[in-house]
Amino acid sequence: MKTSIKWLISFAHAFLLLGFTAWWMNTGFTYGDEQLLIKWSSILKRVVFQIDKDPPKKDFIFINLAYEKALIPREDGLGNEVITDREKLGRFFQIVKKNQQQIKFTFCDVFLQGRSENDSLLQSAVSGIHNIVFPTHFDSKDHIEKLDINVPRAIADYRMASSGFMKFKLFQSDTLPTVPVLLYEKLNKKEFVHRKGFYLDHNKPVLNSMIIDYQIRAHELFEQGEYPVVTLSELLLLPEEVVVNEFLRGRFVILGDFNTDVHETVFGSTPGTLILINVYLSLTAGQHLISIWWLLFLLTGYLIFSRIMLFPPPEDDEDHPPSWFGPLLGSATFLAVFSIVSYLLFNQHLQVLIITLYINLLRFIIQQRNAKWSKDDFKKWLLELRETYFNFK
Amino acid sequence: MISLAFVQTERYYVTFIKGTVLLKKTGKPVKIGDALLPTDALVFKENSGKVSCISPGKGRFDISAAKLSGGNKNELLAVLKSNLVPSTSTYRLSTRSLMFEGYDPKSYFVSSETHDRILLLRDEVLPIAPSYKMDNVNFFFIQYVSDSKTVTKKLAHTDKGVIFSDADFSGISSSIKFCYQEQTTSGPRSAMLAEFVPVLAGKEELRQEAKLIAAHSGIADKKKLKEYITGHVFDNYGKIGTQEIDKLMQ
Repeated sequence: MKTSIKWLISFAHAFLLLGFTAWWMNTGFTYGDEQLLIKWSSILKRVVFQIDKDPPKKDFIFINLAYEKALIPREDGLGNEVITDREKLGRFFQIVKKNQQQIKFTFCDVFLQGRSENDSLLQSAVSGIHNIVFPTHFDSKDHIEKLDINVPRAIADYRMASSGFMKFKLFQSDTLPTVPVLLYEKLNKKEFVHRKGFYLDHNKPVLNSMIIDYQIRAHELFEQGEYPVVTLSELLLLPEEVVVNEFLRGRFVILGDFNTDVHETVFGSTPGTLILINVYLSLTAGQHLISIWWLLFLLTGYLIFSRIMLFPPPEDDEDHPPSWFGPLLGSATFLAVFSIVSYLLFNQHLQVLIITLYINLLRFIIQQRNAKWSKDDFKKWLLELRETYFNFK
Repeated sequence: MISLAFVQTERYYVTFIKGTVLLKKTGKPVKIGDALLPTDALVFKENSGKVSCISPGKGRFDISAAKLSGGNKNELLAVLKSNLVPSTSTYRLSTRSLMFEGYDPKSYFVSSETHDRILLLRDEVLPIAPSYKMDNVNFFFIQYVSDSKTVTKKLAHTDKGVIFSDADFSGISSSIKFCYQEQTTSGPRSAMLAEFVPVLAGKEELRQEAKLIAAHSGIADKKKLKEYITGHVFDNYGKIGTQEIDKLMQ
């Protein structure tokens, strides 16, 4: 075959890989090794290259609601259930309401289901606050849950990989935005447009499913003390002018239970509230935008990869099965480096390791045409692949 | 009597006081809501004294007299004389102790990154969240299969957490079930909280290893060094909590 034809086929194949990458990244699935790769890419960036820019500390205040609990009677039986103390929330939001012009935004990560005697206080305090949002969720039938208090709301659901949080889907419903999308639109005066199955941000295509960069990590918050974390009860002990002037003015106010509402991420246990804030920060950093340079980078990488993998040199010994371990390791290494470079240059994690399986199967088929293989050889090859790469026994 | 000086340029609002605590410059007791300046010094009358305060820029701090003094008069005098208590590190330790009360076994003994291999420090107390009561009738136990027989062993505990020793894990070849038994009004009730592969190691040997890694890593930043060592421990042993990593880095 002519070299030019080989390059042409590789070019077409690169588009196929690009399409597969887009589809795979848009799903909720994550391959185990990809998770490890993403974690180590982040460590490489932050520890080795020391690229770790934190958002300004003065812009945030985190209010922990872990110790602000109250009991309400169970609706479905005898006994009580625990909810966040709405009397304290109501008192706090009265302060917020009076001074809302001075506060950047308030995200109260409290799911307002269940009725308490302080609901009217909380309702009147929140009504009229424009820059605030509460979370809601999908129920088991994919309907949006109704809240017992009428507040501005947005979806705060994420799809869990087998091991924890990995990707966040920005657009999950036609009627309600997700919390990070709403924060991004309100705080950055932007609006996403849905056109022909694609989402656009100022005419730029965006990724729907994001592997986020944790600009604020849990240990920075709770162990390093890099951002102020206070409790609501303590804040309410102070005079209103102190609370407003020193703790709230010009800040993004984030309330949530940071002790029990925690989820596993590539950076360890992280409060759900902090995950949502990090998705918002990733949006602000433009991590959701698909740039033409990134596309060209992907296309070039896949072109070279396809050329190497699809047109291997002939085996020296045609009587034996083609070697598989070398190409497997080589392709996995190539794709891992490809993903790391994508993250370092474009701040985009890639989920590409799954391609290793496809490309090696394809390569095997191509090579098999030139080798004398039996069914037993093929079975042996598959078993070896399963036991080594997948680690299945 | 213990003295503490703030060395940061923040205002610290007092939100909680235990025992008698005086503001050195006025000699008057500190009250809730008082705004303390970075140059202020506090005088604790009792070793059990404690002050909590919040600051707009730094968050929440818990200043405990016991942690500052160590209960030794000579140390106390040294603090008084030098007036150089590293307030940031004191705050961090205190903040952590206030915010962190123990792990929830349901989330702690799960780790996809290590395929559920969990590193347990031999004969050390693993802090458990206070919501799990521990006494004679409320306790944790493990269950595993050894030689085709199901073995159940009650774990030793203190009021702060559980203790793992070699004897608990003899004959284990795969994963164990980590369970909790509690006394309810209708009698004792057991529940499985997690299933994981235990990896037992001594704190001292891990500490030596961490020291060696730190010495050859070339990383000066404590935060980044902690991440580096955490990665090493996860890869070579198993998952371990951040509080336990701190113990290894001490």
